[in-house]
Amino acid sequence: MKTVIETRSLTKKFGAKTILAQIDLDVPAGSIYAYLGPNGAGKTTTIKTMVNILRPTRGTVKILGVDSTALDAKEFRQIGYVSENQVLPEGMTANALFDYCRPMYPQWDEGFCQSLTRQFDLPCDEPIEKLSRGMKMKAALIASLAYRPKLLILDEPFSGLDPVARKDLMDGIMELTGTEEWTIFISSHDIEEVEHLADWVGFLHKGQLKLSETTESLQARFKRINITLKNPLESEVPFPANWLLPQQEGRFLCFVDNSFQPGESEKQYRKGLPAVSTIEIQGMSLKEIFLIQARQLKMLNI
Amino acid sequence: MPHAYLVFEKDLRQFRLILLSWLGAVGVTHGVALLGGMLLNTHFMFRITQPLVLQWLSALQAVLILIFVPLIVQSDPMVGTTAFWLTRPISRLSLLRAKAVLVGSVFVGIPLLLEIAVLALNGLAWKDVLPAALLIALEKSAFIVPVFLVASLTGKFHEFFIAGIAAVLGCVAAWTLLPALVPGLCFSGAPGTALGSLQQQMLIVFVSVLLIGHQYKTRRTQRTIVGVLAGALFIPWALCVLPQGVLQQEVCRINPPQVVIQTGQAVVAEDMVSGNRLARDRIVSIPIHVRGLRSGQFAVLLRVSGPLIAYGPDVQLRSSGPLRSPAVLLSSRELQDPIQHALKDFIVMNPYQGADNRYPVFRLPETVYDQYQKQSGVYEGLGAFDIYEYRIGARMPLVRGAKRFSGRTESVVLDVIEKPSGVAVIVGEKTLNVSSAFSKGGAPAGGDTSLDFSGTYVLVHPGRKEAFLVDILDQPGIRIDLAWPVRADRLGFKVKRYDFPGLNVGGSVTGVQKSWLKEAELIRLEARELGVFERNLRFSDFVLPEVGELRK
Repeated sequence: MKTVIETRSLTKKFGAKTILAQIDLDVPAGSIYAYLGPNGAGKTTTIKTMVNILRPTRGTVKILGVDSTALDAKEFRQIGYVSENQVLPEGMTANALFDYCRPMYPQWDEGFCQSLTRQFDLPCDEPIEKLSRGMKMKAALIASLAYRPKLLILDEPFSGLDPVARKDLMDGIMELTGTEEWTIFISSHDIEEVEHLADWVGFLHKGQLKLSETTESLQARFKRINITLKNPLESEVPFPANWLLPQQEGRFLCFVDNSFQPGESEKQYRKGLPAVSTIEIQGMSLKEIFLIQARQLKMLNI
Repeated sequence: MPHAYLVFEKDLRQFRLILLSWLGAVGVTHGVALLGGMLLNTHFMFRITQPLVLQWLSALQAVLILIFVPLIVQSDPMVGTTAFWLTRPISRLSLLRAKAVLVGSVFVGIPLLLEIAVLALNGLAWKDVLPAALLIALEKSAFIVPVFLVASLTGKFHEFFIAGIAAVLGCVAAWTLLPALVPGLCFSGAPGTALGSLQQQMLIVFVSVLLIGHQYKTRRTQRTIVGVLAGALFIPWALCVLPQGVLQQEVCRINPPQVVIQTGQAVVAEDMVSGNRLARDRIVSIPIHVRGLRSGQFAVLLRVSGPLIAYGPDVQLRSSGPLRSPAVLLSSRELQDPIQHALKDFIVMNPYQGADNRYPVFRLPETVYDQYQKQSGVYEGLGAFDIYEYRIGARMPLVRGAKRFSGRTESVVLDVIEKPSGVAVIVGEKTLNVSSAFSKGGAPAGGDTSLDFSGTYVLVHPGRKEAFLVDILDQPGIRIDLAWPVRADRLGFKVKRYDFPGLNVGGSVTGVQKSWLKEAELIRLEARELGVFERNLRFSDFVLPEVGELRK
């Protein structure tokens, strides 16, 4: 598996405060990687370290095979970056922005640029400072897509957008991902935004990467389990560590299994619990998995 | 297309309006200055208003630079993590090139060309064009490059503003406190000579360019700020201790003169302490005569370094602040021989009972002064002297409109006003002083802005061989300077009134007679600097005079 982004023991500190701790992350080529975590988890810091806006305190980051601290014009011609925090040249119109960017990228596709402009219904002759936040994001996205980068990094692209602008932008990205061969790394604190896009997911919590895998394996692994017992449990039974947030009421027991294996797990439930009557296994959405994971970490005070 | 050009073109488009307003301000300033040379002699109102207009325009230019340079630099900031360029294929070197070329060409290059043009139209010689251009470029850069540096360390204009104020206050505090706190630390204050200014400007530009390069290469702002602090300490230290090499003025070749110091007639004056209205300092001045010079030469004490008075082995008083420049009187006794020497056959009439020139040599707060006055101590200090001689610069008939060039100065007789008690002559002067900083010897550094004996006039009657000195040297006058933002003596227009009441004094010599004035001529005398030398000034039994002798 060829990786486009690779971090090893990535650590970032601001003074004494550790923002990122020993992050090992691999983003395969061609994937759409959703980098999730609550606000303040360290997602933006990870991304800024990836694109050499910040230097790692320890560890390494490789982007397109090049150490992030050595990224230069050649690599940046293959990287698109859109961030909610990025400050566009406000005095320019969108057209002037595209004119400014065009000579920087030999592979700039003017036809693609114009089709995106039409698709996003972007007013190109208005100064950027007068555009709405959603329109600014669209302008930034076009300026990062028109040269067909190999890697597109989106840092909270939907944050603060109204639902219409959010849908427009998401539809645009989804449409593109169907036709273009590129890797997208998208960070968000709201999984709903990206769950239809992502085929890989990473979950960051307080600067630590708690999981990083395909959505398919994640959804196969995380199952909500509802068990009906023949009799209520008489004493407190110790549950295995992979049973998250167990709740018991009378004869009913429910929990989330984060290591579910078809067949094997059911045997484990029957073995570990006395007189199991029925086992109900429910799939979980990414959002549910995300929330369960966050709640579990909070409960364990990690 | 080179990326530096892209950024340059982007900035040019983005800032076209403010660049145009800057060019307008520069164009108007140089236009007014140019008109100064053309209209000064004929238009009285212009003569009155031009200095004020030029002052305002110069201040406006400085303000515009403090606003526009940060805007241009900060449009692609070197600090923060949100700039657009950070994730685009633009190298930091390209950004630096683009910004440096834009700021350099618009804020240094264009004003430089205009200023050279104004100077050329006012008589700048071809051979002086290159040194003048270098000098002007250096002066402008010494102001703009540090502004560029501070802008590259900040991301927003308000940050630049705060950082700029902090930098200025920090430098002033460090330069004031450190020499007092660190014994033996050699620290140069504001340079007192044109050469010193030149070296200071070179160091400022050199250190700032290094730090800008570091900031653009590494984006390590904290380290660059540490570099700024180090540079703020390095520059005054370097000015003080580094050898000055080729820029050192020629040491006087005259046989070592015997310095004779007269201390008996010390006087004390008081001076306000800068920044404190209630505090006063007392300044002690003494006559200093230098013997052993060739006929026609005279020496002026420029400054005394490290003056102290020792009262026994344990008590030492150090001078507490800057000493004022001496006012060297043309009528003083030391100058009579040099003036006579320059005028050769003329008999110099000096009816003003010339006194001795007194040089400020020590300064103390009044409370300390009162404690030690009348006590005898040992005075020590290192005196730096300049040696001059007078020569005739220009000679012109005493008629309105008479005009002569001498060296860098063109003199015009604007008016001759006959009075019962003598005659007053209004003289207009245009002075070009572009290359004195590079030259060894020549006119006193700084033109005649600080040393008022450097250029003056005497009224002569060729037939009678009589020459009269001007009444008071420092006549009220108007001075107009085209020099921004650092120096004020490159191209100066000046109108001054010279009174010659001497014609009526000592009635046995002559009176105001139309026939005398009809044949009179005006001679411009110029002091020519021959060299410098230093002498340790040490004399025992130095007594701070009683305050009863206070001279305000």
